[in-house]
Amino acid sequence: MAQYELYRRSSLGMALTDTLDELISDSHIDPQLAMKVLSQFDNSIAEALHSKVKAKANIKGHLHVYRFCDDVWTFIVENPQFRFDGNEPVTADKIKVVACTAKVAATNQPAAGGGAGNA
Amino acid sequence: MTVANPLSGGLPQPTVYKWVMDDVTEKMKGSFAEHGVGENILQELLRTWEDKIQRMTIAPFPQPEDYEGAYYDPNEYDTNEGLPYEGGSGSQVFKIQQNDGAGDDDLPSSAAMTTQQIDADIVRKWEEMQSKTKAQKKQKKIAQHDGAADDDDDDDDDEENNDGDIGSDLDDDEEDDEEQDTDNLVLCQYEKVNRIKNKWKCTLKDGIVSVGGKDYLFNRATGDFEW
Repeated sequence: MAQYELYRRSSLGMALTDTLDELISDSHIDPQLAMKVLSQFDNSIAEALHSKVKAKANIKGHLHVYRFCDDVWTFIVENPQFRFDGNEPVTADKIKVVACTAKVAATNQPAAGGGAGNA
Repeated sequence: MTVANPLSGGLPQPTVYKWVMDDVTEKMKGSFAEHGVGENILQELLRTWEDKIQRMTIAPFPQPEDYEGAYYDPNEYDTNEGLPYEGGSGSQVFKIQQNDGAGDDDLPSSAAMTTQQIDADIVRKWEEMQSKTKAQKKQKKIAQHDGAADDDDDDDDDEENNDGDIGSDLDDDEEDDEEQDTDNLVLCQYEKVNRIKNKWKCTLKDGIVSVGGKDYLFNRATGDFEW
């Protein structure tokens, strides 16, 4: 399970960052402690997405921009349609997808295995 | 358990967020104690964090009841007052844990680095990180896919030249393009990204989708795009 600072940009992560900023400016905590909280957040959100979330989704759309840099894919998709299994499709004008590689933690697994299930 | 998400037994999004907040709070207890910061501050962190999420109306989630008791008088408990920010003359010294790996032993004397210097360093790092986050947001500009016009990559240039010496309207377009995207964001990991002609297929996992002010989570997703 790879851990990234990527998720700090999510609404949950931004809300945490804002909160920490406030606590720092009120001198309740120092920035070093705030950093620790953020890195704990990286761990917690990774674990949550990995083991607490089971939903499967499909995204379709017109790929407007793609970019691959430093192992990060970025897509800008126009008129995306999301299907979260069983639910109504969600649409938007445009969406940006930022994806880090999932491979980091899996280096000791044979690539051909196709990910043997974790029960 | 929760049947709100009948799909495959996963937890619904608000519950997952709540779990993350509680997990972070729980696991930070030790660090807060080490830093000499009272647990009431940690509770305030949790409360403010939850407030902000609720105000975003991403999704409603249940307000725990024990919150009433969590209110406190900040002056009464503010243990940070004891930190030797002002030169360390106070007898009560909270050791700031060093985890930058440098090792004080290498310094002529550990007194060589004053608490002010350490503080300054930490503040600098924090600000660096903040500006990095901002820079990442600014990266929108980079979505250049025509291969040319590198000159305009420089932020300053862009701003100065907005009046139009170079007048590359590509830049402007691009900025507009990407400006809209910030609202709708998918943060995830990819396992595979394949392309056949103009058809792209991606295998994604562990994602947070933010569309139209709402958040959705997925464990796995496929992306089918055409370019």
